[in-house]
Amino acid sequence: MNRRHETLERLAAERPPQLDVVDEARRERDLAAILATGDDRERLAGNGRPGDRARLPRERRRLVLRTGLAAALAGAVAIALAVAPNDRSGQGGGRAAPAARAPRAATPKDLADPRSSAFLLASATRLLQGPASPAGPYWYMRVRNLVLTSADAFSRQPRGLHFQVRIESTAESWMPRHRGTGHLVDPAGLADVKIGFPTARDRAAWRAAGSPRIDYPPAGVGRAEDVPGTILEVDVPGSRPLSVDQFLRLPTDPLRLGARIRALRHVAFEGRRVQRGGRPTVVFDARKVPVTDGMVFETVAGWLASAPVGPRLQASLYRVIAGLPGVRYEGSATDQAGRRGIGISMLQPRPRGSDPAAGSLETRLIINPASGQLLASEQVVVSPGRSRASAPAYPAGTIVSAQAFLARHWTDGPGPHGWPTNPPGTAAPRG
Amino acid sequence: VEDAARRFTAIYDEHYRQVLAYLLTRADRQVAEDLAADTFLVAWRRLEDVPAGPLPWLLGVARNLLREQRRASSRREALNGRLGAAGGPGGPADRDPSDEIVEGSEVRRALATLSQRDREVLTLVAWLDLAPKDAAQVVGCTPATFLVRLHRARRRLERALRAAHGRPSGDPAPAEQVPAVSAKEQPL
Repeated sequence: MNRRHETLERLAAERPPQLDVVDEARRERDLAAILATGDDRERLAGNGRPGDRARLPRERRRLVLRTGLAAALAGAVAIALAVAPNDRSGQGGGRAAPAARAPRAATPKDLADPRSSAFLLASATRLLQGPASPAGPYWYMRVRNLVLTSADAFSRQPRGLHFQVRIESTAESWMPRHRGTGHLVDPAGLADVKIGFPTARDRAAWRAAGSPRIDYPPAGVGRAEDVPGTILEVDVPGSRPLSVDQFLRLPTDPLRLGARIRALRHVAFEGRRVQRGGRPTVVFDARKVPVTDGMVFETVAGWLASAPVGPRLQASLYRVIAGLPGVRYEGSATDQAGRRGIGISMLQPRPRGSDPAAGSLETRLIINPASGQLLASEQVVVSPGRSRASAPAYPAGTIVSAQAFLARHWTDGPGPHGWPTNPPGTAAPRG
Repeated sequence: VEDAARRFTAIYDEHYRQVLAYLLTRADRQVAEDLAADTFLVAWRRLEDVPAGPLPWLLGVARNLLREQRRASSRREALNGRLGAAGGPGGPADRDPSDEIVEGSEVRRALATLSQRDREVLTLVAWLDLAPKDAAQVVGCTPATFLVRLHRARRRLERALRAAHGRPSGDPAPAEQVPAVSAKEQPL
């Protein structure tokens, strides 16, 4: 190499060691995310000025994973369905186990149920007549959560508790529109945490185990915390999340919106780790998947539940699912907060490669017919699993998890007194 | 597509560290990591345009993204200022996020007193070990112009080092005009 000046050599000798620090996990995730944009590459190649808009979704700390209930929810549903035994005769306790549900209406497969269509279209119209949504830098949600989960789910170490608990609590979250510090309060108050048992059998098992303490939240988890370096994004199952800007640019024409949703779900990516030159790396296989109506409903329901939807977009999302065959009208329904509305539901798509004996769930949306507002989203057992294992299968009709939306809107930041907190402590089952 | 993915992964594995290191000399870690990802996203989308020996090209992209990001954040800060938030000179907006990188040793403290432009020229050569020809491509000028800039930047660094030793020099660094080299950007 060319001989450099002494001052430059001196500077070179002082190269900060931080420059060599690489977050390898981040490096791998980025590679995977870039390769996962495969389709864009083909579409964009040759277009002028590409670099200026290219952005990967920003790394964020997954707020949802820190909310105990949300995490348990995902796990609990999978457990309940995947390892369901046949030793349960189906008499559930609690309000979550209605008697035999009416047989499914024999709607033609290719036609939307006229009752659910009419209801959704009318609700869309009501939404547009309602007040405009406020603006602000944070997406605020206050949600009443219900989840049925293993008693061990909240233990630091498994305690071998083979029964299920039913946990209700309220959580609040503030997610920043631009990268910043989010805030989470879960549970929002200890007074309204309810810990119980889904069935009398579970309560008996708890007693038989010596009535062990079951606390929510477990010590050191949950409550109030700042989440720095995070940004609100909109999840797309099986694909990359959308930025808020991308999300808010979605077309509001229902036909075009439906087409966009199908396009977003059309390419799924499956990563596999390989060794390359002695270094681990991730190779992504893009797979074009047929998009089912169930996948469209799943996407819409997810967005309605957590994305920053304003009345216009929400109305369009209702219109998209109004046109889907397989959406059922369930009539009157009550959410976890005791509010009455109309339920509509659809069978959840089964994950690829899942055990066919694992049972099935449906998503039920409860909508206020007067305002068109979404009151709640619930996951309900349609057919219990049949595989042999020690975890319970809930009978058809059991609500295995639910979210009742008490508030969801853009809002201002912490305010003069800072973020809300909640008192330390845990709630435990009564009885 | 598979060949493209293979070629891209090879480029990524070989040059990620260098691209990140460059960005770390100019931004805090979070921004640097984000922009490193964006840089390679551009490379992936424009793989046909990525030359053999891609490092100067990659750093040029990184540099443009950095500038774009700076522009966006100064717009935000200007807006905040109008709304009455603190944002005057000397405020947080005035501080270079990479300052902590250059703090520490004597020579790094001296580097910190230089303009961003001088710092970049010096660190491209001294810390990223680029040949002047390649560094010129990164900052978007001819090799001859780059050598002039490097020479002047080095002189200012030496002056700053002397000043740190309490030896007053005839012409204090801040008084010297930055040479009017045309900063034609490298076309993307």
